[in-house]
Amino acid sequence: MSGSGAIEPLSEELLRYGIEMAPVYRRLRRLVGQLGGIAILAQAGQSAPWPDHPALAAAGEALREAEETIRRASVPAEQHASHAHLRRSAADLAWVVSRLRKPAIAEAHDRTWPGTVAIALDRAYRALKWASNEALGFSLVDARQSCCCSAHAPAGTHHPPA
Amino acid sequence: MADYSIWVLEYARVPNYHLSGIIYGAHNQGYRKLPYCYALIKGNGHVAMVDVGYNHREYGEVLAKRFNVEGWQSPRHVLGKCGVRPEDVDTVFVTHSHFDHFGNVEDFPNAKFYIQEREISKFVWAMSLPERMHWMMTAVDPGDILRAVNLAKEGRLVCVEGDLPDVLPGVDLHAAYDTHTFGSMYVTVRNDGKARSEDVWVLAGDLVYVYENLEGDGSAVDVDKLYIPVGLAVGSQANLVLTTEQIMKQVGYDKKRVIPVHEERLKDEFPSSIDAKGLRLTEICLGKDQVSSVAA
Repeated sequence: MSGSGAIEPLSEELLRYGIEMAPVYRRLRRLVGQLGGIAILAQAGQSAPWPDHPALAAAGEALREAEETIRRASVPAEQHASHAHLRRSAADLAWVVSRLRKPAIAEAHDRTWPGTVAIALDRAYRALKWASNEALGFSLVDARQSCCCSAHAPAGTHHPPA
Repeated sequence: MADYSIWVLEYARVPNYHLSGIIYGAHNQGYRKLPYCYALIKGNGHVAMVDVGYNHREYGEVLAKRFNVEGWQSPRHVLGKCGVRPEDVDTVFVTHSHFDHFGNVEDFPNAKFYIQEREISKFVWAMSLPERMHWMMTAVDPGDILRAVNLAKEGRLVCVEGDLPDVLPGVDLHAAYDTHTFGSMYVTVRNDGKARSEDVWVLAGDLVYVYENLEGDGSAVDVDKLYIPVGLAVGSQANLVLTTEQIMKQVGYDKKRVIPVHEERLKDEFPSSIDAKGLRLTEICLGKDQVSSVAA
């Protein structure tokens, strides 16, 4: 990996917080994408059984668990602002789930929903961005194992001609 | 005379990409430069792209520092070498939803985007699985999905179901399900406009990274040459091999007509130039009345 400067050690309290909240962060990140995908499919007129799509039910359950963990967490002082962003992100995502589960969407009676859902998803994503903390594993983009990324070769590695 | 001009434009690169990611099974065989490119198709009154690269604003620095992606230049700079502005692009074909292909949609305010519906719906499905199975959804950035939500809201996202012939005159989309990703696709350009074309180009996305995927060393299995799939298959390598056969049939088994955009040696096969920032422009073919963009 690229070289970097000295790493500041994390306090035990912060480490505990990171271990507890990193899965929540990842879950919220995943839900942003998942609900975004559902919103795309709904707008594309897919014949999914809105509002009873199983992914929505699973997303709702995942959000309830995430919100509970956020509520119960012991938050170090330096993480209060970031933690508030996580709380807001979860709240916006919960609103998106409730919106997508309204029969009015399935029946195309409510034409305002694409805009309001997009705004709420954007807000949830931005909140996650503000809560990002690489040291704690709160990373918005997981590019590991991606098709076109890799750790670069160690120094001195021979590079065969293309 | 051909209907379309086609270029492959490098916009960033990884100087040392492990060979086993490019060629399945090539473990401990060193590294190779991996250019990041998109394709530009111009003609018949259209300006189209195959993929749009990654969103450098959001995570370029992360990629640069952690993954040694370097040299990124904006679409305005890169497309400008062909006399095209991002706002001129009216159509984008998204071969798959990985962040380095589906980022940057915001830079194309006038384009209609085409993506396989299955790429989105299987992504949604994969996201609902327990986290221990989330290998299936690496390299997809939720931010890119959100930008696609906005595209859909604006009526600029078309979810394609399967093959779609003549999405533009002479340009066809071909589904390649459960290969590199769940809903990958590739693009063919029938440059003589004929149904049974003798002038077909295939823009393969990440279904083919380099020439060895089309004609690799088969000595291990006592054949001269064989298809060797790319390293990453969320679907299967078997499906990648079967799709490669479909692709080669499209071009009458003339592998030069399959354009792997990650292939550095395109410059050896087609007229190319390198700009002051070290980025390559490769000119695959020129359409009617189109002046070459490759410096003499």
